[in-house]
Amino acid sequence: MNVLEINQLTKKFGQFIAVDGVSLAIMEGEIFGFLGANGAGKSTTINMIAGLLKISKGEIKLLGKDLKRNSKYVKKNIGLVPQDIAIYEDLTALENVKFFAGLYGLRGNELNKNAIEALDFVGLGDKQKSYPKSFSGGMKRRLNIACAIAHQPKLIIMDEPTVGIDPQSRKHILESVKKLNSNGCTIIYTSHYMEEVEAICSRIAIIDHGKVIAEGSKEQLISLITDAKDIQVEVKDAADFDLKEVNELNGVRSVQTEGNVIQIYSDAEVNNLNEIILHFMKKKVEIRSLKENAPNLETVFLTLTGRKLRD
Amino acid sequence: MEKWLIVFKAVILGFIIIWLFDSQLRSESLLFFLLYISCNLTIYLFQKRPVIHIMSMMTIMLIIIGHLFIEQIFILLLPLNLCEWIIKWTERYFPLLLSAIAPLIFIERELQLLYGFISVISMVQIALIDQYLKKEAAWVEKEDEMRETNDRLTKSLLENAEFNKQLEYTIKLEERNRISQEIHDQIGHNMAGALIQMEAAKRLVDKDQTKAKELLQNAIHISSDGIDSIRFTLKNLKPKTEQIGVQRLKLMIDDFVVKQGVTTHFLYKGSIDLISPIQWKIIIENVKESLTNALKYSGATKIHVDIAVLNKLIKVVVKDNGSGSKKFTKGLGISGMEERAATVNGKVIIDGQDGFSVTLLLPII
Repeated sequence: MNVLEINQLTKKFGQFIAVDGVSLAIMEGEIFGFLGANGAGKSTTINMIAGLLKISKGEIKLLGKDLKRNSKYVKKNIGLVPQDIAIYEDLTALENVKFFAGLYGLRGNELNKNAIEALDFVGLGDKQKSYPKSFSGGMKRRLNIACAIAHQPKLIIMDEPTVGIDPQSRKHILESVKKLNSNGCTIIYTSHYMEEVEAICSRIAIIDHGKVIAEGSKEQLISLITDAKDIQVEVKDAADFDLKEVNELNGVRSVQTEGNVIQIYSDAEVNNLNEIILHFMKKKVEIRSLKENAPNLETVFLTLTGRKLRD
Repeated sequence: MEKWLIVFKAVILGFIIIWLFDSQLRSESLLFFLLYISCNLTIYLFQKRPVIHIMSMMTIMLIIIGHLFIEQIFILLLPLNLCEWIIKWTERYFPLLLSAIAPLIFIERELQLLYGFISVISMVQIALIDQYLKKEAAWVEKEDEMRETNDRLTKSLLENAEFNKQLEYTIKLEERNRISQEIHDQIGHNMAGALIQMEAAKRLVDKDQTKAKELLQNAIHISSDGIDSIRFTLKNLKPKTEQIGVQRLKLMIDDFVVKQGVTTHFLYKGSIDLISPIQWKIIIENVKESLTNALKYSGATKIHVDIAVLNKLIKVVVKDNGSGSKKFTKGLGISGMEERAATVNGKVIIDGQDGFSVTLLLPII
């Protein structure tokens, strides 16, 4: 089932078109990644989904209901973790979560229970009574997430939740995204960190200049541009090495030597590294180093747009 | 809209007549009615703005004169005519209300309430009609726009169909030319050669049998060569689409370079034989559009046209070294490129940050 359907979504700021005819369908149980450079239109799209920005053209449907006509229903089922941290410094962590969950209509016991659960979930269970003033950047981010999930929305949108935080908090956040997902939440995750998107997203849309230029799983996206990988084996002495035999290994397309480096060009989908190493060992050739240049999302982005994700 | 206004005016007029019925109807009043009706009708009959304005003003004057010198009640006609005239000058509703109510202070007490009531109703009615008209105009405009887009898209679809037909025809024609050329060059020569050999053999058959046999053997060789080359010619495939495509694109770019004097490099890599004829058409049209744009806006001195066939995508980039543009408006040119690309599920990305680049991504079918 589609949790979210976006159809020809467009946002104009004056003459500038920030989002240009985006169409997407996000299925239940997905972690859907928006990958794009800064200013590509990710946040604008998200803000329209969350109902914070008016739609210039097109439509958004959450669980089959049109966003424009059911804004209350939609807001109840969406949790937004905004890019800029939105918490009150002079409320305690628990009060913050309760305040935001209260806005979504939670009351009384349920509110209390859910707020504490949410704080536990992000690993701030022991900081209920502390003020965010004393928190690190990463802890503030986690509190920010707790505020967005306490009302148990079906769709959680995270807009660059790992910008400017320490590695430990980042790890914690990525893990909690996965945990939320395994609890049945559908998640939209935006980032311009390719590694994060590669690691957690089941499907990815590459966004550039307000358009979705490619969409699919990591493997599908990579297969758009190539079906080959490059393996470089540096050996002690490649002079008498028989290239033909390597050529016959599973998946290998061509082999050539450059000095003492043997370049193996192979099918990207075939995992033949073990086989190749074994072959070198059998031939008693000493391997000095081994490098595999498999294409990744960064390569895809660079190939499709001609630019890097981060400058 | 006019109908409603006329009905409303008639209602007020009727009301005044009933009001005046108790006191006897004076001939001046009758004259006023007739003048009022005829003035009003002229407003609706003429299309020219100056005439409408003059008649509106005259009607208003008439009402004021009627109010001052004939019957005070005639002032009730004022707000509607006033609003109707003022709405032609202003977008805002506040001055409308103000001008409709303003005469209130000059009117004597008994009529004030009635006048106020009618002026508010008139204003509201005019405002409603005005809004309705504006909305209608907006819808009409939108409809026109959609119809235009629709027409354009239909046209491009038809063009594509036409192109396919033409292409088929061109390919047939080229094939026919090639075959006739081959027949002339190869088979014709062969046959002529064989014929000569056989003629000679016929003459020699009585005098020198071995020589004649040799000549016949030659003729047989030549003929069988000929048959082979007929087979080969017929089997040899049609001209390949990628050659036609690359050739056309090259021609177009060369033409551009010659005419405009902007250095343009064209590079292609990957298996370009995967590009279908219709994709070639779109590529060529979009490259043409991009080149024209570069020439018009960028002041570039160098343009690169690159085609790369990736695993499942065709990527065409036209990039110039000109001034670029961070903010550009999407005109017909860019929309056209997007629409053409969309007919084969393609995308167009435009980037104006470092020079100006237009990237066309088409999925390989």
